[in-house]
Amino acid sequence: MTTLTSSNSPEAQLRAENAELRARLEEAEDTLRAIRSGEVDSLVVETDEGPQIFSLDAAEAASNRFRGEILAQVSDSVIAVEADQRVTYLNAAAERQYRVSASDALGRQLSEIYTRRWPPAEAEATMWAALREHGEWRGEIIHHTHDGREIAVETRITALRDAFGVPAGYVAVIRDITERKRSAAELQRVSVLLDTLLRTAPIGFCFLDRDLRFVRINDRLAEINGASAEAHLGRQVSEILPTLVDTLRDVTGRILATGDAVLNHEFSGETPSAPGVMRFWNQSWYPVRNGAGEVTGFGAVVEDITERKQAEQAIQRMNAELETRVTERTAKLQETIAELESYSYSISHDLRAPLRGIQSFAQILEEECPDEIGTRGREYIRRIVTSADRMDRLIQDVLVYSRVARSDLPLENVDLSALLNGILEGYPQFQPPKAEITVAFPLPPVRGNVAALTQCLSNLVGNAVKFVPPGVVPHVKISAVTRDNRVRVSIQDNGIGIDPEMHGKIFGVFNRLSRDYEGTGIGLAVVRRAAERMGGAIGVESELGKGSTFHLELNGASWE
Amino acid sequence: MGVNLPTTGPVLYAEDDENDVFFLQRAFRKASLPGLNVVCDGQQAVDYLSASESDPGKCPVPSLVILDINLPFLSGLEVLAWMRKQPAVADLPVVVFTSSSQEKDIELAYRLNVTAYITKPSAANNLVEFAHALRAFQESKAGVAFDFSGVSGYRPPPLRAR
Repeated sequence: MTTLTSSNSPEAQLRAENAELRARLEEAEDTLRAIRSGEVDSLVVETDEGPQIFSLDAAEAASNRFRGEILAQVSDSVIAVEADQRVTYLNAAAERQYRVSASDALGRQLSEIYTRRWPPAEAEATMWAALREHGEWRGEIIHHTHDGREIAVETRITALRDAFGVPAGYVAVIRDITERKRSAAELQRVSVLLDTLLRTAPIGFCFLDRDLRFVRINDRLAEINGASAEAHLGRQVSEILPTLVDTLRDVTGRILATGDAVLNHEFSGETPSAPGVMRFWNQSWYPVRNGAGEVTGFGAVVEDITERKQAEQAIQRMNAELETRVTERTAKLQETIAELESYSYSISHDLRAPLRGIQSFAQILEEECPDEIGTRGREYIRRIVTSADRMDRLIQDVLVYSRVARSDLPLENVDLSALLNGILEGYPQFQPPKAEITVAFPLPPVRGNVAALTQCLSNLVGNAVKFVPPGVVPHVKISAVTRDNRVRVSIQDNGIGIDPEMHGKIFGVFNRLSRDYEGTGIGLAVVRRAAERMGGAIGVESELGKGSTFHLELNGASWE
Repeated sequence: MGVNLPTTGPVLYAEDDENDVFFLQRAFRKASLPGLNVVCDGQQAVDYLSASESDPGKCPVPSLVILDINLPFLSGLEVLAWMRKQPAVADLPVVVFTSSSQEKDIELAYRLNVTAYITKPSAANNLVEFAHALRAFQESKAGVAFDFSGVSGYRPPPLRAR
């Protein structure tokens, strides 16, 4: 405990005063102890106006003791002073609050323990007037303590009167409300913060009670709704937004039924502030609960997503435009392809006419002028005819390839057995004694294009009988297996075979298997292109000198 | 084919390639067939056939018409289409003799009721065979369908048109 000090006196005087004070303090303490314990029933106090008698009967003494115990227990500070502001009593709470011991404080002037701060100066006069007239004053003030602290207090002062009704002192009951003040100020600060946040947020907020009455709303949402925030308060949604009530009842009904929030509810409409302009909002609704967990209202967050929506719509529009442009371009491209096709066709076609002339006139020359030409001349003519023949076949094969690569190949179910039979019967080189071809009939039906399939099979069988060593009769076995509705047609020959290193190249255009055999190197390219365009594939198993097996894989027939 | 077809009239050949004309004329000679009446574009073919009705003395009604497809002014297929709408010549046998093997040409020709679609062979000697086939066709009894399938270059009607 701090010792009370009294300044501004010379040292000797100080010491004398000190001694006197101590004596009086001891006296007062003894008296107080006696009063507290109820041992005295009356008290004579020396005052400047002579001795004063305070009577304390037995009952009063008992109740005094009782009071003393209670006062010691209470958490509020209780301080009694005489009329001259000398402290006559202070309880344990006061000792703690003002950091003094009762023994030090008793007899001191109250101002030595604390002084009052009156924020409005005239309030002090009000206090004294109240005490004079009503014997009581209560209020909130600041106590500046002797050790330099400031304590916000709520205090009640009662004037004490002696037996003759003369004011004899005061009892103050003081409650430290510093903490309460601090939390109130903190609350206020947080509240202002939240208010500012709510008010200035670019997102709409509001709270409704259970009757859909606006309890709070921020400026943004008020603006969306087309009325001031004040105009909303206390009014029902039906008054402000009649068109929205039904939707809102659904939403709040759902919240009440499930207890869950309703999130991202999109809606559109016009605002009174901008009629005729369609706007879009994204709303989320939350239940607001009291301490007992009961839903007391609804909170809403409303976000204007008009720009986002417009951007989305713009993207959709652009996509649609793009789609149209792609379609147009594709159509144009197809037109160009068709033109090119017919152009390349007519070029190839026109190339063949002069070739026919070369071949035919060479033949006619040999036929009609044998004597003038002689043996050597005939050999040259044979070479002219052979070269022209070869060029003619090249042109024809290029024509076939470009047709297979580009033209429409409508797919249908094809009877492979009948098709293959037709091909084998149509060419003498596919029949004995020129070739032995065995087919494991029946072959399964496939999904394909008759013209393209004919091209594939006649090229593959043609190769199988062509590429045999001189003097060997070609033996070809044709069979098919079905797996997962894919049909694999295998054409196995006893030919010269293909070096595995060449397998990757043989399906390209102008890649010839062998210089010893006539050909343009286009046949297998046609097969691959045709197979691919029918959703199929072509592959080969072969080694030099061990024959070859070509596999043509196709989709099985479908009957949907 | 109609029953009252002229089997004695000349063969009308519409062809713009001089070589091809020469080769077919030679083949006809070799096959002992009478000479060809040649026109060198589609319009001339139409003019000849129109005149055959009004002035058969100058332009005798042909017993057979051979049309190339790629002809100046009017294509062979246009001439064929025109013929099929003219009562006087609508039923005449027509052979399309062309270097085109495009499916769409073949299909259109058969839709226009062509007698045979034959692609030009690469060498002149094969034309003699063609000429013989034509003679056999002309000598066959009217109304009996003639089988061209043995002629090299013959393209049968596509499946869809059959």
